[in-house]
Amino acid sequence: MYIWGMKRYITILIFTFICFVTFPTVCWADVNGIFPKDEATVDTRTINFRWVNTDPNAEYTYMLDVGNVIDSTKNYFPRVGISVPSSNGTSYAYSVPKEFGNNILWWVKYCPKNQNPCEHVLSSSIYSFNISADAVATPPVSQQQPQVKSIEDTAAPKVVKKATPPPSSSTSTPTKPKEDTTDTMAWNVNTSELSKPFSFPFKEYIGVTQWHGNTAFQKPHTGIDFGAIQKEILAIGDGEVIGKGWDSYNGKCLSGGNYLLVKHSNGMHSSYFHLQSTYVDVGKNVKKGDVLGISGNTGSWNCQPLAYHLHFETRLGRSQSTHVNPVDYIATDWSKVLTLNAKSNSGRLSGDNPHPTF
Amino acid sequence: MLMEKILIVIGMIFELISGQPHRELIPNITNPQQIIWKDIDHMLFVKDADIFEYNVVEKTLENIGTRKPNEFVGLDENGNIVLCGIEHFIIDSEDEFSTVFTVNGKELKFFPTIRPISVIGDTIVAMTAMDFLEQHYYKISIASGEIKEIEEPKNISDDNNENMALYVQKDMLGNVYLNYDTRELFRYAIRTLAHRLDSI
Repeated sequence: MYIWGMKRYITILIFTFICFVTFPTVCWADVNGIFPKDEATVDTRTINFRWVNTDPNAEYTYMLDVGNVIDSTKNYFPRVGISVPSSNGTSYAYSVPKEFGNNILWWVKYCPKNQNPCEHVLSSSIYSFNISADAVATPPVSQQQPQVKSIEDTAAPKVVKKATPPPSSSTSTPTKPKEDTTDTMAWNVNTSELSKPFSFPFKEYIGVTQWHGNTAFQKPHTGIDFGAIQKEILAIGDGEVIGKGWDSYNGKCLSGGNYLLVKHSNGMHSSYFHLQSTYVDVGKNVKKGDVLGISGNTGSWNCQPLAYHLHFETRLGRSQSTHVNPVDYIATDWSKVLTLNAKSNSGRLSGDNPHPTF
Repeated sequence: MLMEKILIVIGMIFELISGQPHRELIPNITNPQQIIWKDIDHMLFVKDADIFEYNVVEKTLENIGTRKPNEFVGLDENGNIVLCGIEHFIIDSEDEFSTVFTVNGKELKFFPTIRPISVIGDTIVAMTAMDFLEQHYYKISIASGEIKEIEEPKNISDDNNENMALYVQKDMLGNVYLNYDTRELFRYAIRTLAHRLDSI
């Protein structure tokens, strides 16, 4: 009996070892009934998410949140919240859309079964896993359409447009106010982008070091600071250069450096500060997309040198006091304009950031 | 009895072989402004005005003090809490000072606009306070007030612990997790044991 017991344990250990060596993902993923387990790799986009109820004395209703890891920042971004039908127990089959990428994370929120209203509590772990690049989604025939809810409160901050006044000029193109976006699934499919009058001031997407508005560093910050190092800057719309020179609003210790001011055909203005060099002169007519100069780090603050960046403003009129949030007037996919080094400096996420978590 | 012991040993061996990292949520603390490892068993969380001490072994969180909004929390040579007050000023010339640190009633004045990122013993490590300025790092002696520019220090992130056997991570919701790697902890234990045996 004793020897048989030994054999049994040894056999289990050997099989566990063989399984671990042969199919490490499968063996370890199922250790606690959680799948996909943290750092696992799967070869399909259709995944039967499974988790564990560690409280045997209570039943819960669950919400499954699935998101993605944004590669460049390693920040998490929740994309979908699924109310798991109680008949499913602690599992749910979901085909992860290709748009979510291959670095996926997921977690579960739960509340006692008969709680009304249900106050979801976040589970203690967030699991990240990878989907093989060539994985194909094959949704099961019987799978019902997941119920997509906006994830509010703690799971995903709302992306809400800041109210801004319309352009003051009567000749301006009326801009349709951006829709409030409260559903995390739809936040980057914003049709109002098409009605924005201006384009991005760079040829490629460049990250931001400080957003417009009341930020952790300045109240208010009158424009957006792009972390551009000697990049070509572009006219955001047709217009005329009406200002150029060295900005020095408070002596040598507080200077915006080389700047350009452009008046656009809709009456609005755009300004560029801390430029290394400029290619246009006052009176020059420019077209949308024309190269105006090179960004730099000229100027100073508190008698100290500035970091390389472009301080970019959009204004309703000529005066800086008429500054408005460029996000509301520039048509681009702002989800691709990341906040630089936000993980180590969370203050950079502050202000009128169109995506407050990254 | 023997079987249990054998199983424990085998389990430990498998645990070490697997190298699986473990993670547990630290309850009742979110979005701390500072995370300081006091020693291998204790860490400090600075959350708004409150300073909490978390016992990693007993998993208890205790409020051990307060700070003002412009104070940075550090540790002195004996592991006691020390507060570093920060004031910034707008200046008109390079002859003026734009930063004043106050530690134990002693004022330290500096031209660059800087903020502390670590206060340990007699040393303050500081960096440029404003994001849009050229970023520099400094080492300051509290005793002498001497300031010296240094290279960007490694592991300045709150999340890191030097031995990496235990480290904390924050998720996007501000929850704080304690991570530990059994294999690293085992190595750490061996190193500590060897160190103690050497010192006998």
